[in-house]
Amino acid sequence: MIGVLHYGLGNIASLLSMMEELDIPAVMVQSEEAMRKCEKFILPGVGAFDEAMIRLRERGWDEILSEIVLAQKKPVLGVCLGLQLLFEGSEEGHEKGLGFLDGKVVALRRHIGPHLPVPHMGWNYVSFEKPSPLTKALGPEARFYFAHSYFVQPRDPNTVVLTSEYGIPFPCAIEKEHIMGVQFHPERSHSFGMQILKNFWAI
Amino acid sequence: MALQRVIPVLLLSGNRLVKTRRFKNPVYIGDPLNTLRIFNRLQADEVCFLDIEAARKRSKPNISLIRRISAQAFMPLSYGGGISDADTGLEIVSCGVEKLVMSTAVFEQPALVERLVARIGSQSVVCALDVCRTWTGKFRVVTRGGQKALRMSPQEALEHAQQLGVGEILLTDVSREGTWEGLNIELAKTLIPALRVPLIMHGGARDTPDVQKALDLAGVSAVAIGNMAVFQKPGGGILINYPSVKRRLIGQN
Repeated sequence: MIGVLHYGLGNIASLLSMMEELDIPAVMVQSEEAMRKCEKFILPGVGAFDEAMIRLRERGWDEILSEIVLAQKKPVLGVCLGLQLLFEGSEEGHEKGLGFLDGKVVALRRHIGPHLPVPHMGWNYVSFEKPSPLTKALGPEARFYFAHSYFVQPRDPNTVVLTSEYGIPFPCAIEKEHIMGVQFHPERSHSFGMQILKNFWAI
Repeated sequence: MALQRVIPVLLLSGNRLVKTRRFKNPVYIGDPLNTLRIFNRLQADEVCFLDIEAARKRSKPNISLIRRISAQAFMPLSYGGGISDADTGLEIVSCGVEKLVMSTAVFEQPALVERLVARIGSQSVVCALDVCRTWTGKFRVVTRGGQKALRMSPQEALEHAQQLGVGEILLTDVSREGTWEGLNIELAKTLIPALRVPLIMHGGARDTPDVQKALDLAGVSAVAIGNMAVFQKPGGGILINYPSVKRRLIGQN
């Protein structure tokens, strides 16, 4: 069972309906008890980094997630802001991130110059940086829907599975063993997003 | 550095899906959720729902339907119709809808548009610029779902909308909407030089080559289709379908 963490931010409903379409058992998770019953987790999120971290801490989920993900090694997939929360911190705010991945989250605007609009919003292609179970069966025609103003900079470049390009190349899928995340929205990227969710379920 | 898009525009009237001709004579098409699921399978780049009744009456959007639509959409969504206060706009965004489409408010409630731009960002606010050809051959802007004509040219309206900070323009030639006459390239060309945000061309899309021709025009980020998305052919029956086109990666989308 995949637990989709519901802490008030993120497009939970379409993630769940996409997994229902794929016959992937998934539930919305709103309590510690429910969380402990799941084998895998999706951490969604939209909006501001600090607000999301504060909401997770208020619920004590930062510590429960540390135990489940770091000690018990259950797989987690961060989506959009959810990916960013897995890192140590973000230029967007002051709150500490979950810190499951080394590195930080930086502002697109500082890296792409003044001319392109921020956020990066729309469909974009990706480049395959290394093989990963997360991107199995995806080909060069794969494209994903993005909507973000920040991107992740992992300290370990070997964790970067996919990059995309918006003014500069930036990492958009990360995998460090069972800790994974994507900057795009699989739930809004039809068959390509479905493949990511299928792959995550199969891991 | 984003891909061009083809966007089915689906018109809501109550809980039903309809199709109009020149914004008039709505014909029943089917159930919005079933239709959306077909566009999931057809892998539409984006889907735009416009509530024509809410737009005309400035009545409150059907939030429960919007929420169900958003949960079922496997592509980004935009919604327009009856967004006449900030709370309503934010409620729609909280349903998971990526973009709000504003038309009447751009001209009647500019402060509301600015407020929504400040809250959810330019990229999530689309201005629906509805223009209608007059008997002299000039184009005039219309609002309230085509019911009210403004003494404003498309160029003036474009500048006004861009000043408010909208992030995208959905340009509809109402005189061609639902007519299969072909997208109005000439009209688009009169606006493209002044554009600072992405342009979606809408109204009259006839067939795949017509859509492709519009996408090949420099300055066009997307094409919206109405009849083509829900009818088999001119005079034909209902068939939910989606054209196969070549998309360019462009700098500003």
